[in-house]
Amino acid sequence: MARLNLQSSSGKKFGGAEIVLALSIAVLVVIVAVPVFMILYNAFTVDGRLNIGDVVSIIREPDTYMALRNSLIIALGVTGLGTFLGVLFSYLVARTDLPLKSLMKLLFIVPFMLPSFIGAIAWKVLLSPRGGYINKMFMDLFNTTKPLFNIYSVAGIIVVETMYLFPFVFMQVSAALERMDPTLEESARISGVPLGTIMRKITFPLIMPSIVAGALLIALYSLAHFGVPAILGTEIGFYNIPTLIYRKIHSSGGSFASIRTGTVLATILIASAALILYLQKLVLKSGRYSIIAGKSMRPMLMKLRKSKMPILILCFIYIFITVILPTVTIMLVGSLKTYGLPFELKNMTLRNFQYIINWRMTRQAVSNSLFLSLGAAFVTMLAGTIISYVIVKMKVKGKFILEFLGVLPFSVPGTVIALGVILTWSGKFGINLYNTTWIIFVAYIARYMAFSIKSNSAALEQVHDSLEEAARSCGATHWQSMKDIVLPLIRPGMVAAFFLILLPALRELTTSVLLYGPRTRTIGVAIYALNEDGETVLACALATFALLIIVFGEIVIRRILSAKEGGPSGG
Amino acid sequence: MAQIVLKNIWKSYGKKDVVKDFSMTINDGECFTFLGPSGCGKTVILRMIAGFERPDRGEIYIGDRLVASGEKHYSLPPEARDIGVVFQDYAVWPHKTVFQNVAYPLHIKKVHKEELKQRTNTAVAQVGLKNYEKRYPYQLSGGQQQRVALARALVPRPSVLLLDEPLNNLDANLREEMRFEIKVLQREYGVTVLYVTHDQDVALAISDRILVFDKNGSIRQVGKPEELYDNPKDSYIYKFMGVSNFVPADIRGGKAYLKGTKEVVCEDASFADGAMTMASRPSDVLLSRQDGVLAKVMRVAYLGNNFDYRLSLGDVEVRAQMDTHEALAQRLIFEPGEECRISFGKMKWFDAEQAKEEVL
Repeated sequence: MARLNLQSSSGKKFGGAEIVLALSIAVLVVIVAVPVFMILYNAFTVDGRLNIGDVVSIIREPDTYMALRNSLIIALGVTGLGTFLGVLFSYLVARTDLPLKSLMKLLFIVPFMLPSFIGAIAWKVLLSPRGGYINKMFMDLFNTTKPLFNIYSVAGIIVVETMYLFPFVFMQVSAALERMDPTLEESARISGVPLGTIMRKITFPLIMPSIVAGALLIALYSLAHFGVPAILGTEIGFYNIPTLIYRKIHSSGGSFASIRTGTVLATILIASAALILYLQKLVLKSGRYSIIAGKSMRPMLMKLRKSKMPILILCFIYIFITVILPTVTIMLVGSLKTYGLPFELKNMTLRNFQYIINWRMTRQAVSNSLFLSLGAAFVTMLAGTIISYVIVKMKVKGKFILEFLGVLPFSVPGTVIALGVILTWSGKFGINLYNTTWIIFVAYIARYMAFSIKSNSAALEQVHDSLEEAARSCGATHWQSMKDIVLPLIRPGMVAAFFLILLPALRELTTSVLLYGPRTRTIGVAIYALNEDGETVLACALATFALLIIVFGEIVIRRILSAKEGGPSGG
Repeated sequence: MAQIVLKNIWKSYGKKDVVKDFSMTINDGECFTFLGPSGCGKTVILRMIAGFERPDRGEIYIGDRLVASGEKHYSLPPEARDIGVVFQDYAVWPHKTVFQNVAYPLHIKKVHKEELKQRTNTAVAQVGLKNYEKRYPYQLSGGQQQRVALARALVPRPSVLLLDEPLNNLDANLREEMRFEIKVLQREYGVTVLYVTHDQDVALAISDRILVFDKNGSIRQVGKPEELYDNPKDSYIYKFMGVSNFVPADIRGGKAYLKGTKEVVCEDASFADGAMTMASRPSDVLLSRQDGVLAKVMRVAYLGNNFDYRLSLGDVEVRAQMDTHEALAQRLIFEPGEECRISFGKMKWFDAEQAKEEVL
C-alpha cells in the first residue's frame, strides 16, 4: 500500500510529495532561516534573556548612531540622484527621436554589470584630493592647491554609487514606457492637449509606480551597500552600517561585543529592507492597471529638433565618464610601474600582470572565486529548481512556508547574511566552518537562493500542468515526465539562474569580506585588501583580470540565452 | 472489456462538494458524453478517471480493475491506467516534433524501433498530418496541434480515451470537421470514449449516449442523443439541447391560453386546469398574417437560407425561423415593428413551477 502511494503525484496525506517538500523546507531553514533567526536572537537577548535596554544603548552609541545617519544620507542622496538620471535617460531612449537608441539602451545598462567597488577604486585613483590624476592635472593647470573634486566625501560616495545603481530605475521605467498603451496618450492628443500637458497629466502618472518601484530598489541596495563607502569613506572615518559592522568585527577579531553590535545594526537593515520591499509591493500592485499591452503600436516620439545632437553628445559623455573612463583607468594603473607615475609609455609594464598570475595569494583568490561561484551557482540552481517545482507544481499543504522562506533572502543584505552565517556555522550547532571556503559557500547559497527560485518559478509557470499530465497519461512515470518534459522545457530558466548567480558571485565582496580567512580570499576580497594595503597598482591589475572575466561571462550568457530563446523550445 | 464504472464518487475542494455521490457505467466501446455547464464537476470526474485527482469516497473501475478507491486511499497512477487523454489546451510538447510527440507513448513502452516508427507514422497519417512529422508545434495551427494530441493519445491503443473539451479552442469550421474525425477514429480503434463538453452540438453529433448535468452537478438525464432531443425529461434538458422558446400558459377546459390573456395558443391541451409552460423550437413557430396569436416583430435577421425573427408575445420573447423560399413564396416577410400572428407546430409541455428557471 505504502509503495503505491509513493508513486502518486497528487497525494494529499502521504507519499513522495511530502518528502520532497520536507527536504526543501529543511534546506531553506538551515541555509536561510536559521542565520536570520540567529541575528535577531543575538540582537535581542543577552545570556538567553530578552534585553531591549541593551539594544537601545547600542543604538545610542555615537558611532552606531552616526553609521545609521550616514547610511540614511547616502541612501537618500543616491535614490534621489539615481531616480532623476534613470527617468531622464529612459524617457530619452523610449520617447524621443534620439539617434542610436538601441545602442544607448544597452550602454546605459552596462554599469550594472561592473562591480561598483572596482569603480570606486578607479575614482579614488582619479579624484583623491592630493594624488588623484584629474585633481593633480587640475592643480597643475590652474596653479592651485585646491582639488577640483574630493572623492573622499559624502558627495563623492553618493555620485559613485549612483553611477552603478541608477539602472534599477532606468530598466523599470523604460519597460513601463514601452509597455504603456500609446492610445492613452494619443486620445489625449486627438482631444487637442499639448504634448507637455500630456506628459505631466498622463504619461508620468502612468509610469509613477515603476519610478517608485525602481527608486525603492535603489534605496534597498544603497542602504546596505558596502563596496563604495568602504573604499571612499573609510579613508576619512566615514562609516555606514555595513562598513561599521565590518570594522567592528575586524578590529576586534570577532569578539562577542562587536558581533552583538553587528546583529543590532543588521536587525535595523533587515527591518528597513523589509519595509522597502513591502512598500514596493504596494506600489506595484496599485500600478497594475497602467501596464496595458499594445506593444506593437508605436508611441509618439517627442522631437528633439536642434537639441538632438547636443543631447546625444551629453549622453555619450555620461557613458564615457561612468563606464569607459573608470575601466580604462583601472587597466592603465594596472600597467604602471609605480603608483603615481604619469601615464606615459615609458612608465608602463606588463610585469604587474605577470606578478598577479604567479603570486600565490592572487592565484588562490581566483581559484577560490571560481570554485565558489561555479559551485554555489550549480547547487543553488538545482536546489532552486526543486524548491520552485514544489512551490509552482505540487499540491501539498504547507508550501506557503517555502514561498516565504524563498523570498526572504531578497530582504536580507549581504552583510547580514555573512553575520548570520558566522553565528550559525561557527560551531554553535556542532559544525564549525569558520575560516574555511565552505562558510562562504553556504553564505553564497543563502544570498543567491532567491534569484534561483525567481528564475526557475518563472520558467515553471510557463509549463502548463497539462503538459505533464499528458506525459503521465502516455505512460510516463512522475520521474520520466520530469526528465522528458519538464526539465527540457525549463532548461533556459535553469541556465539563466546559473548565470544570474555565477556572475555576481564572481565579483562578490560584501559577504566574503566578513567571512574570509588567510587562505580563503575571493577575487573581490583580494582586490579590496590590496587596495587597503596601498598596493593600488596590483589591485588594479587584478581588477583588470576580474573585469575581463566579467565581460567575457556577460557575453557568453547573452549568447546562450538569446540562442535558447530563438530555438524550438522557446515556442 | 474496458467499461468504466464509477461507484458513489465524492470529491470536494475545501468545503465545497464538487462531485456528490456520482455513479455511472460507461459501456465498452461506447462514445459517452458528459454535457453540462462549466463548474458542474464534469471535468473533475474525468480527471479522477485519468488519475490526476483522487476521489474522497467511492470507487472507480476501468475494465475489471479497481483504479481508485477513496475509502482505501488507493489511486493507481495515471501511467498505469491504460488511458489516452486529450486536453482542451492540446498539451502538445513544444520541444518535441510531431513525430516525437506521437512516438512518445511507444517510446515509454519500449516498443521496438521499427514497430515504433511504423505505428507512429500510421497514427500521424490517420489524423491527416502526413509530411508534418518534422515540424514543431509552434509551426502548426491550433487544429493541427489538436490532431497531434489525438494521434498521441491513440497510438498506444489505450482501452479508454478521455477527451476534455478538446474542440473548445478551435474555430467553428474546424470544430465541425474534427468531431467527425474523432467519431471515425473511435470506430476504427474500438476504444471507449468519454467526452466532456458544454457544447450540445458536438455532444449530439458524436455521442452514443449523453449524460446531462445541471449546474449543481446532479445528473438530469442520461440517454441517446435523439432521446434527449425528442423526449427531454424537463425544461432544463429541453433548453440545453438547442434554442428554445418558453411560453407560460393557463390551461382552462382543455385549451391553453397565453398567461393572463384570452389568446389561445393551443386548441388541444388535455391537461388539468392550471399553469403550464409550453416549449417549442424556433423552426416550429409558424408565422402568418391571419391565423394564430397576435405578436409583434422586434428584430429581423436575414441568415441566407432563413429569416430569424425575434417576436414579442405578451411579455415573453419568441424566436421564429422561417425558410427563405417559403417566406418569399407566401409573402411572409415582416419588418420590425409590424404585427404578425403566430401558431406553434410541435410543442412540449412542462410543469410551470419547475420551468421557472428556464423562462426568462
